[in-house]
Amino acid sequence: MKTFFFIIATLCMTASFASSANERPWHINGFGSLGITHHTQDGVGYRRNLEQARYARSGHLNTNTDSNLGLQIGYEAHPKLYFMAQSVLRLDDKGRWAPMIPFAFTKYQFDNSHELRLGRLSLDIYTDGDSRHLGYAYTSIRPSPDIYGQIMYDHFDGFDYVIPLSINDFIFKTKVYAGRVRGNYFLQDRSFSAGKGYVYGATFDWSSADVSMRFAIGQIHRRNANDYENTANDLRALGRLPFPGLSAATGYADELERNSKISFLGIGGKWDKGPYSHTFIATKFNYSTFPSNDGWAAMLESSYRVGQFKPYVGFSYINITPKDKPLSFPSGPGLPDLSQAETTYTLATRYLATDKKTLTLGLRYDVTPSAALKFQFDRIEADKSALLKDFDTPLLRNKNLNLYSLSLDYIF
Amino acid sequence: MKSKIFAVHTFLILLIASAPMKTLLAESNNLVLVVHKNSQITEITKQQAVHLFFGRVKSLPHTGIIEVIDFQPYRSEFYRDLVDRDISEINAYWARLRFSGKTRPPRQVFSFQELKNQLELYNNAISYSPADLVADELRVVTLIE
Repeated sequence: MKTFFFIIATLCMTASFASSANERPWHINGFGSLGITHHTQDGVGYRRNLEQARYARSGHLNTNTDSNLGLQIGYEAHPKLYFMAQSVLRLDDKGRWAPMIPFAFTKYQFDNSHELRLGRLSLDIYTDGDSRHLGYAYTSIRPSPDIYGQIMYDHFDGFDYVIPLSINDFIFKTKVYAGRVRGNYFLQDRSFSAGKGYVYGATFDWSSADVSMRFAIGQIHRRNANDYENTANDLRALGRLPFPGLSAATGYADELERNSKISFLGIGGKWDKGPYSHTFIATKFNYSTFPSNDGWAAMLESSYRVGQFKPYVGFSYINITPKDKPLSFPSGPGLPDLSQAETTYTLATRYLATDKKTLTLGLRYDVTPSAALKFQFDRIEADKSALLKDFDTPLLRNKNLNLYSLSLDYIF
Repeated sequence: MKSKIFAVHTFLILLIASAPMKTLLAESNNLVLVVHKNSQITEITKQQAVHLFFGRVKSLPHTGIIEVIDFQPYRSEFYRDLVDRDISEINAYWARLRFSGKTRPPRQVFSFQELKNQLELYNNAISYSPADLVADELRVVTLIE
């Protein structure tokens, strides 16, 4: 929070300096979601994204999953120069209600309509908006967890540069971005940080009056992440033992400590025509080095507005397949029992394994032009999942869930 | 901490609920696109109008940056005419752009006098108005279907 106040203070000083010639407007806006979830699957916990360190448990009314509060302040120092900072209070990777800063940047618009933003920015990779916190902007209560919930690092400190192009009645926009990646996620009772990593990528947008499409490509590199430092140390110690077959442990330790890379590709489209609205997103991603995984996900959502009511239906699927082979050491008389190390290593390779589908039915009711009440039913079938938790076993396998949610989303 | 957060939510929700719903109550009018009489904008296609009023472009061929102005009392009706979408959907669209820092919604005016002043101030501004209100200083933009 101190950081946010520091940014606000900096904005105020910059603004007062820049506004001496001509008074320009401040913009203070915000958004919030007050959500309740409920399910009855004993022993299973639900969360909407990998960042959340607490789960919605069976039989309880949970208010943590979908609730948040955001505040944004902006200042237009000049028609071409704009400052903005945003803070969002939400459930974090430590299980606390804590603020984060997804945006704090300076934007400059060039004469040729190109735009440059410098500062804290959010990853803008999917079609339906680049803030997964803004419930009001989505038709459903939450942007598809099978797509948006799997994002490990969702913001960065760097720049993006947008090049728009109009051809006849169509708009093309190319955006390139790069910077130091930020974010945390919670997995198997541990919090992981982006550490010293960086991200770069590009998005390509095409829009007509009713249809918009986006293609996104990017990579996240993390250097010496040491996410599994203890396991790596144990493996190195094993590799030094004078037993045949254990020298391979050093190789496994090297693999754990090597720089990691996440690559992603995404394509999405949105069609809005009168009362009809359809959205699809498909994404493919790859985690190289430990724990290596290949994955893909897709979602479809359709809605039809009837006055202030908007019923919607959605379907999503995600599959993440581990590529690392299980750790296996020789065993026998005179050799140490290494089953614990094997289990720990193998579990780590399977933490992200996912095979999950979700059917969503819901109703959005726009109470006022800036507040929406939503009721949603999700049928979740998970052969494997990193988002759900089985409180009885380390890895969740073959669990189904009926999730009922109610949320009031608003902007101001 | 949690109880404080819920107290803040409650306050904000009550604030929003007490706001007047003028935009939903506008009566049916014959709305036209308007600019200042000295503006470079003379005609526009419907697709260009959609792109401008949705913030996808900030200029048209042979114009500088265009200031888009929403005439608040007729906003709901205008977007219904333009894209057949409810004002809450338009608000959700703009929320997505505003809260990701991409662009800000059009400047809003609440009276016809304010609209005339803004169109005069920004030479390349565009807005909409009931046809019977268009006065000497303003010009109707031809909308090419």
